[in-house]
Amino acid sequence: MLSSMPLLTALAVIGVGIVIAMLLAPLESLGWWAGWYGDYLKESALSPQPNNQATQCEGVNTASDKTAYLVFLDGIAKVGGNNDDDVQALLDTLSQAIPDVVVLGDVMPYSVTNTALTEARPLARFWRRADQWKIQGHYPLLSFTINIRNLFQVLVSADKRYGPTYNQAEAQVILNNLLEHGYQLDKRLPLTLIGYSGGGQIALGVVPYLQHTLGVTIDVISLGGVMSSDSGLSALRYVYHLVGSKDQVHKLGSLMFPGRWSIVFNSYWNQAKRQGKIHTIALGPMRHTGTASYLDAAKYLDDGQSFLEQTVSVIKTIVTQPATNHRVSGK
Amino acid sequence: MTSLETYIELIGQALRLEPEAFRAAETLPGLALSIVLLAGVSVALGQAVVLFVNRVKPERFIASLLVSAIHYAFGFGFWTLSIWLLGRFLHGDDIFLGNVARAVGLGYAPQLFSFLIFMPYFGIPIYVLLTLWSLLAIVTGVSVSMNLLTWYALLLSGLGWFVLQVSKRTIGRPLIGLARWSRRRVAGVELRDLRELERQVKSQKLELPTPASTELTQTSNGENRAK
Repeated sequence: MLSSMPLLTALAVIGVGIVIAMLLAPLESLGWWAGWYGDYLKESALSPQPNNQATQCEGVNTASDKTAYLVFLDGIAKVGGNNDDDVQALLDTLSQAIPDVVVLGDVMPYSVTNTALTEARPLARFWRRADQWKIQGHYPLLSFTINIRNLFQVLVSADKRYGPTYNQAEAQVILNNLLEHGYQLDKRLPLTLIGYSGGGQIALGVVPYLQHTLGVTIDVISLGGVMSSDSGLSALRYVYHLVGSKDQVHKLGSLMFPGRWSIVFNSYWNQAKRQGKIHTIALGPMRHTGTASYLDAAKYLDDGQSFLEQTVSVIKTIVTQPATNHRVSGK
Repeated sequence: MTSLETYIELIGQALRLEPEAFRAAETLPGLALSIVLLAGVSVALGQAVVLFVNRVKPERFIASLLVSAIHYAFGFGFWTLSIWLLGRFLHGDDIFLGNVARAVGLGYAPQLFSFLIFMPYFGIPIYVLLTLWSLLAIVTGVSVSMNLLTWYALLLSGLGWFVLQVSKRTIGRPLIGLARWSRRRVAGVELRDLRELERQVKSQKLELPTPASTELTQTSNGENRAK
């Protein structure tokens, strides 16, 4: 009993901490909506952000010879600013594989002000430390707080009360990013959003607002995405749900969100399924993250392709071929 | 034991739906109203999303929460009155309003946790859980204060709620109007519900740079970029 008390106390402290963090989670988007942050997002639409790294090759005109835009929304491990090496490898490989598509990967999907966790926040110092621990592999529980913090933003996006304001703000961030990278409104180029893990929910959430403003075809590619039955499903063309057979995390979406359950007949998800909007594509024996994940360039399939190459190949097929003629399959 | 310790002990017993707590509450006149007002603040915090999405200014936020708590207390008062009147009508004169009010007020104890409704995703199930828990506590309180069987207390509480809803839509409309006016006055804006606001948000287009504020600049590598 005595030896277990510190553990119980620790669990209680962690529990209270989680509750407090969840109570604070909606405040960033609600505060933005209520005007507490001024015109930050409007101003950022007119000037590039200094910490953004465009994924475009230098010297390429980002507008005139392009046929589509692709925006990558990273998973809940994202801190902001620079991408992790495996994510950057995906973006660079995609850019090379589909040179006439603009590939963007510098949006922070878990901040309505597009601010990295490590900057301009009360807890920026802690997040910088947590990011270092993550990179160094130290204190995994503490560095995992990054994932937990961003997971709560995914829940904000999926919550019917907070979702509209959160998702509109993120849509504004993405629109600003598109415009920064030469998106021309009058050309009405189609848009594909790739949502990795929690980014899948964010991708669904922003669709109605982008569609309403841009008036273009929008597809979502979910890369092991954790998604709710979001109203965005009614505004997009297709969802391509790419999953690895060893990825257990993506199943959280179908467990946690009642709208994903088949008994909720008239949910947005089940309506989209009946309309043929949702395509599930098996990529092979890939895990959700880390070694043997969708982005691993050092693990190989039986045909000799790396997991990363397979992922890129499937995404390329989705983006470049007409949706009605798709015969996309993973191994 | 101090008063505060007694109050906390009784709240704990009420949360566990122990009838003794509701009997003891009949002798503590300040407890019920204190719980209801605190519960009202907690409910207002849990539903503060309404204030944010209606863009209530920070300086009016606290006042709006307090006004909501006061309205909540009035709601408790009218519901208690409905239950008491029905009880007297059905059972005669030996049911005292004060006893009923104290027992029903203590039944609001689960609503002290209503601030948790603010949590994303878990907030709605918590709201449902607290509502059911509070209903059970109120039924226990009505059963004790009126010396009724539990099922009958449930029926009476339900009838009392129904009478309250009908009254709100008929003779109570001026009071409802006054409540709305006071909320609007304190908040400084018309408070629209979330569904209406969602429709409005979804109908708005995203901000685009105006032509006058856009100028092309040459970057160092010769790209034309909108500034």
